[in-house]
Amino acid sequence: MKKIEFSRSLLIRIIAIVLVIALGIVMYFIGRQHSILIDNKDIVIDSVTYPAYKLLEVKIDDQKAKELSKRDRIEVIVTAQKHTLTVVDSMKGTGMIVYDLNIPVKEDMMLLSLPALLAGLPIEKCLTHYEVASIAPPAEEEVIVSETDALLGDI
Amino acid sequence: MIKKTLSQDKSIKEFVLNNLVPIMFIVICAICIPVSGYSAPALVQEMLTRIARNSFLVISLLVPIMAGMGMNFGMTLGAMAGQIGLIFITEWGVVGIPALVLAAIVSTPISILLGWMCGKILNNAKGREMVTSYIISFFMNGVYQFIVLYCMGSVIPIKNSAILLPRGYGIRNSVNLINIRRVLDNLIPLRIGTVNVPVATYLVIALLCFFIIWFRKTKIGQDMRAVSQDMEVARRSGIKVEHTRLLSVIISTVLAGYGMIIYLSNMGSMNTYNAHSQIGTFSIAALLVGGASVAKASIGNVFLGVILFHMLFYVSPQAGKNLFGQAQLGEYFRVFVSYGVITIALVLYEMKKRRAAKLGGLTLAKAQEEK
Repeated sequence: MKKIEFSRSLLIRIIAIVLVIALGIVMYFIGRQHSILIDNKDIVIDSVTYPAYKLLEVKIDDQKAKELSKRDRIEVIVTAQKHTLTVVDSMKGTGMIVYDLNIPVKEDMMLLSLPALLAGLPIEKCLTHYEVASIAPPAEEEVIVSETDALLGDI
Repeated sequence: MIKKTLSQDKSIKEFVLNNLVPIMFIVICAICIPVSGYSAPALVQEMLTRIARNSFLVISLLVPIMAGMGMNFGMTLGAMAGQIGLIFITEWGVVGIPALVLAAIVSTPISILLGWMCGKILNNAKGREMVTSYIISFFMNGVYQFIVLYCMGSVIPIKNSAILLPRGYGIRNSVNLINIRRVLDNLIPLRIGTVNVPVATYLVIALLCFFIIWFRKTKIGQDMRAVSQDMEVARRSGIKVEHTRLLSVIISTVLAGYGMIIYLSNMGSMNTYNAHSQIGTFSIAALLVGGASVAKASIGNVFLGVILFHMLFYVSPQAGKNLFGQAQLGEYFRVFVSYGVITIALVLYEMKKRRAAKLGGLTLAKAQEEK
């Protein structure tokens, strides 16, 4: 059996491969997209009801601020995991309240309850996993594998 | 005076013969452009987009030509690797420039593996590289289809219902790449009048051009040129011929993978089962249109070829519609032209080779007679 010799060039190659893999992991984390559903609805957590606010203004990072009336839900799409949420109670004029959001990298979509958050609940209780329920079974799709199709059309 | 005119005539004939394909295309484009009725800004915009979209792929063909292996129809393998990278980033929900980089990183080991396999086979089919690589691309297309159509979702974990077929395994015919659509083109926005210039994409292409220029001057680049001249002489002078050829195919395949990622990110959607087959033929046709031959190609050929080939691709359907009332005619015309040009270029190359051999023989005979 051939013995592997640990030469300088082999070491450089291994380091290069490790660096590329590390770059890939970094790219995954900084490029991962998440959807946050921001909710201003009555919510019950641990048998306590947190009522919705009349009018709130929310802003995530540098995105445009959005207004949420009672029972409103908006979707905000963000990239990476760490975000800053700014909330203003437009009716009371309480001033800006800033929260740090940390979204788990595996989550596609999360639901954030503003009434619970503003009531001072820990962020883990206000930001929960959300799964979109499928309404109807998707239609079948025929796979088209054609050699002649590849020869036609624009590129 | 007469002698001078005769030699001028000869040099013009030589020039025309040497550049027959680009001249033909220039003439066809010159007829089609006014007939199509497109405005100058529309043409410029389309050409800028298409150069940005396709140049990287076409440049990836230069390295195997440098090593004397002809047109690498095996670039399709790299394109497949690029597409697999794109399927994964869509599955993982990664967006923007990080998604492009990640897709490139995912595609690299697959491209290297496929390029290595292709190069090994081509080393056993010396002198028949083009037809062999063409058939390899067909063979690998079957493997690709098996992986993407049956293994993804069943063996390879894919859960995103947007890309997965409703049956639960296999990738859909078309994958929406909205998450990376034109991210590179729009990275450095520049607008001149009504024309948008994709500066970042051009910078990446320029970087690749500099890499090719630099690569030609390196030891391995020189080795490739020596191998393309004469394999036996190169071997006797200590060059590892097989290794050099293998390396050229691997580099080309990896670059083709990156090129495919740039191409598809510009398009914004991916035809999962056909895009890669299309790209190989059209990239080779574009390079040949630029005046390259099976044995010689330069960066200049790439850009001239992409401009002429895509100009025809863009204007011919409209020209066909305006002339005959049917855009379909123009579409068929451009397909006919793209395949025709490959045939003409191959025939011309073979003719030139035979003529050179004949001339060489005659010169040798004359020299021997004089002795």
